[in-house]
Amino acid sequence: MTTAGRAFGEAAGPGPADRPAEAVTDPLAVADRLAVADRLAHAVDVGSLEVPGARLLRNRLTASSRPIRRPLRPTDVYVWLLAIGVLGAIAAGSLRPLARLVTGPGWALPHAPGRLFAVAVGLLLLGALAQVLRAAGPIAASSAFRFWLLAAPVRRRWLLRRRLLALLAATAVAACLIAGLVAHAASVAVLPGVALAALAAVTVTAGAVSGQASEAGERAMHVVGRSLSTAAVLGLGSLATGIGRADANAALRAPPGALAALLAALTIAALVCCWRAYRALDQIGVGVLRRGQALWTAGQAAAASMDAFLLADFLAEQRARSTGRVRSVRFGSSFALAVPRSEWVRLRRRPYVAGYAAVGALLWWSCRLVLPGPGRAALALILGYLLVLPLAGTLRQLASGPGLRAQFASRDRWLGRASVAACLLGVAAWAVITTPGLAATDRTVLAVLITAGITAAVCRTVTRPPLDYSKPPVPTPFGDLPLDLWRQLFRGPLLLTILILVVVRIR
Amino acid sequence: MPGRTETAPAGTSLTRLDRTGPLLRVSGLRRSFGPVPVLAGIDLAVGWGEAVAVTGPNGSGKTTLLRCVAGSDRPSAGVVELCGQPMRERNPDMRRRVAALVDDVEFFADLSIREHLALLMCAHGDDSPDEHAVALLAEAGLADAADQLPVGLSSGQRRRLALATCFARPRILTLLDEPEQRLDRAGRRWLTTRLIAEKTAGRGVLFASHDRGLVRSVADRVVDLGGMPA
Repeated sequence: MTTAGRAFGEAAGPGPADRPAEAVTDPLAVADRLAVADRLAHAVDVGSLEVPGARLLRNRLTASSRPIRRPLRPTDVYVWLLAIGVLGAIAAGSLRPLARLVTGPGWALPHAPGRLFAVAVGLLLLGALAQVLRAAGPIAASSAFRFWLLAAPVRRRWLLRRRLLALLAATAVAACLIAGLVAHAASVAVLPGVALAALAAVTVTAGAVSGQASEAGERAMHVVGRSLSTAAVLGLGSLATGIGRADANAALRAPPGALAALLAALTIAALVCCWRAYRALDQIGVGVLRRGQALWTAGQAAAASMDAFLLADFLAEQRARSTGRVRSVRFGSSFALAVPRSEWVRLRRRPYVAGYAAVGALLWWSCRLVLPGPGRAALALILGYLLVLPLAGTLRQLASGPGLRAQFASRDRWLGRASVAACLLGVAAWAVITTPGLAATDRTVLAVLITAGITAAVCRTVTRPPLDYSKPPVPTPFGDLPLDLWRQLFRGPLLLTILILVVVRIR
Repeated sequence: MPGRTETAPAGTSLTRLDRTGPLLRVSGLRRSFGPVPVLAGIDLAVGWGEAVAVTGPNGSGKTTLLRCVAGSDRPSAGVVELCGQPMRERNPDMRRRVAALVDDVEFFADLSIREHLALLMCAHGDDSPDEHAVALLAEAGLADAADQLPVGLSSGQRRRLALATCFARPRILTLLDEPEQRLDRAGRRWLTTRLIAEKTAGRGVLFASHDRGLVRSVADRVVDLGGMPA
């Protein structure tokens, strides 16, 4: 055993075998004696120990966290063959559409202000990325990792650099995919768009990691995120209202030399930011890593149970914690009046929902100029669904909380109905905003259909019953998943998909 | 609640309830998790104005018993009756009569705790819910936190609020699972006073507890599920 191995794996000093055997019956006395022995051993030997390397720590951790093995079953082979077959078929089948995506003419309407649209949407997504990364960490570490590895006297960058690399790679890949779709939808050149988006996303991500190491850096990231979002909203506003739209779109027709210069500048910025992020890893405090991990854990739980509300609940809780105190309102003795009043109070305490709705409306009216009819209708429904989901918070809490239902006994139904009414009003407002942009023969029918359909989809989604684990599990490459999970997953989204097909058909 | 008269919830009448027999009767209650039996034929009764404590070491089935009585768990066998009628959690009238704190209690995340309590009292027909909510919060030691959102409460404050939600509504039976948990000394004193007041008002209380002091002060009878060390 090396000194380093002893430092990490074993307590220094005389072990239990070296101590004289005693017949001690009092467990508290034994515990006290062991604690004193550990303290003495630590005090004597800690100065002379060699610091273990990051590789040794990692190897130890890997060795001690081997997954539980079970005998191979015939269904495992079937599952993997099926997965390889399906993924292979998808990969082979997507080659041609991918080539068409890169070289094809795109989906945008003729003479649409595609460049301004692509830039505005790109800035909006980059702004959202900056804000999310700032809130999420973005480098995070589990409590075990913090306790066992980050507490060791090892340079932190050696332990965290793989996480940084994975984060940058994941961001770049996601940016390429999204930028490809946006560029194709806007009928602008895909490859330069993808390259610009990937470099910008890597720059923002690396900047967020640097920001994690210092308060000034975090404030700077906040300003960057806000600036990007503001620029995006201005661009979308110009697209939606027509103010300066033609000029802005023409100004974005850059000569080839300017594009190359922009790419070069972004490459340099990305490299500098990545280097600064790598150096900043040493300065990141454990407390900051904990903050990000809570969000990642909530995200993992949401992904594992296919329930995005677990993540939404976590974010709402964080927001509520920062709110602290509120000004309580009086409900009065009439329950019929208290119920709508309580819904109004809830809405008033979430002003960001109105902000999201405004940006959503701008986005949809911007897309209206660029996207053809079916895409426009589908986007109107998807945006409406996403914007109205937060309004159904009461219904969701009642549906998922038997304790809350029991508190209110039979009157919980009234609270649920009030929540549905709030959704209905929200969707009706959304239908009023979007229906004029949908070229339909009968707009009233379309508005009614959108209002009723989205409300129903939202209610189905939020009233998802608890998972029934007694149903048979389905083997998948990610492990055995309960059958009920699939049924629940499609409760609301399936209705929304049917609604999209119907609206696209009658539009 | 201070100054509040006990009235029957809307749609039910306490006079229609069978007051001749016990308030709650549990007979032959069994609950198994797979092959592991947790409750093997429990019989107990809670009378009007009586408090019954359920004691026993960890894993003896106290919470399972209360969950089965409250209807949040389904017994493998046995009968639970409230006022001579089968206890069904899905029945709104039954839910109106029983205040239970068995599982973790949830609160509306966007309402302050004063608003939550006032809405709860309003839902149960209180004539001045805002004033009564303030009074109950003061009694529970939560006056300073009245305008906070529930997420900002400490675990002890959350426990007090959960108990307050039980005392904020009309009830004939209160079910509490280890109500003393996370309460400080003042909180336990308040809880003891409250539970004694429940008995005095003629209501029944069934509670599980590890606190010998609380059991001695409140319980008229003790049902031991596994032997409480002396």
